[in-house]
Amino acid sequence: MLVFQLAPSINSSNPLVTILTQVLVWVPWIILIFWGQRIQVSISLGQVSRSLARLKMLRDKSKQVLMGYVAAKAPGDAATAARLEEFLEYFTIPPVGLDPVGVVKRFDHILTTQDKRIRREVGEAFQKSDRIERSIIENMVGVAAALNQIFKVIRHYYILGKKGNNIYLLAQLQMIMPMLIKQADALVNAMTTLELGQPLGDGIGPIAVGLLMKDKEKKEMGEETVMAESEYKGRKLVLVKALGPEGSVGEIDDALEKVVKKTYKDVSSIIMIDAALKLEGEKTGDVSEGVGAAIGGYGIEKFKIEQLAYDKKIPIYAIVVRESIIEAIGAMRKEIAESIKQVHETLFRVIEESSPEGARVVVVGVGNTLGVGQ
Amino acid sequence: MMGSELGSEQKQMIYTVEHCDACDINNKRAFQKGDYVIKKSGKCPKCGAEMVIMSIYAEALKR
Repeated sequence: MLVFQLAPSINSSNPLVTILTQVLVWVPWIILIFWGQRIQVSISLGQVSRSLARLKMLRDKSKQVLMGYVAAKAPGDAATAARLEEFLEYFTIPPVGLDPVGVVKRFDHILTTQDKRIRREVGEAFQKSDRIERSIIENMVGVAAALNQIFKVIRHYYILGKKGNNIYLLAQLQMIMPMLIKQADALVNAMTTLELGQPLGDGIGPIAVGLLMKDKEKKEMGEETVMAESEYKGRKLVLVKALGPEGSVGEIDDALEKVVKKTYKDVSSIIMIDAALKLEGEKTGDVSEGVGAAIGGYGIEKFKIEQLAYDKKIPIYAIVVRESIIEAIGAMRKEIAESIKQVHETLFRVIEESSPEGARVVVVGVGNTLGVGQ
Repeated sequence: MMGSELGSEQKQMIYTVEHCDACDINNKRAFQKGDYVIKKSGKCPKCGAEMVIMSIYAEALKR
């Protein structure tokens, strides 16, 4: 190595200079050999600790926004505020996957129970608030709980790494921290967006379908989903989206099942419009088309829609608008809002290409419909 | 006017775009609480017909 070659080659007639040179070369070398990892651990600990402090600040800020909103809707109601704070620690145990048969149904049941429980609690605590305000509180609780969970998990691994001087654990934390902080920042900003009832980036699907529903007769399907009928160049359109403008993603899977199995038995294709995560380098607001069920979440709705389409032999087409996770959970950006024209052009082209005149096509707008009516 | 932070470094404004079907004109204004897409938002200043909110979006403020 260069240092071994370098040390003896530095010659000087002064022995003091020679000794000093040797010390300057060998002492740091020995320190790095014996304590290098410890030095690296303390550098990593310092960086992770600073990021953790920022995460804590963001978690506290989200709580503060939630409690501010709650205080405005239920002034002086300390019990409700305390109950909502307890909800930040609320957990859901996913079903066991040892025997995967029927795991989706069991997961669906558990998540439905969770949603109903939160909705009932919020409904009882805010009886004077309307549906929109209650949905906003539900969404805000979800965001604050997510931030709380992120903070607690990162703190857990930070303490584990610190206790065991585990450089590998701390290095992994150090690497994911910048992305986590960005997402946490976006979640906190989303709290303000939710509070004001503005459309989220994820709401592009409901906007695309909601605009097609304008001036059409609407019919509510279940608690959170709405449908309308329309027509395009001889094709009969069935439009489905979550009921807005409250913050909800609706029960799209159940609504589709009802449409395909009960209301209409002649559906020839399903077209789903949704926001999709872009890859780095892709442009926000780019519109692409493909096939398959365009719907996120845990995969339960996706599974049910795929199964339904397979059983009925109905092709599923997808139109997606590209955006990052940070753009999806934040206020809708101009580039995304302006993609609507292209989404509609693509939709009508797909309808014409995939379905003959007289055919019935179901068009689904997938995503959170906060700030989007119909 | 509603302003909030986009990420930690970029400020943004939220705008509402209203459309009049009769005149085919758009009116861009600052977002107001209670606005939502496909809400009837008032009379068109030109023809008096009902205007509808067609879009609500965030735009980064130019430095």
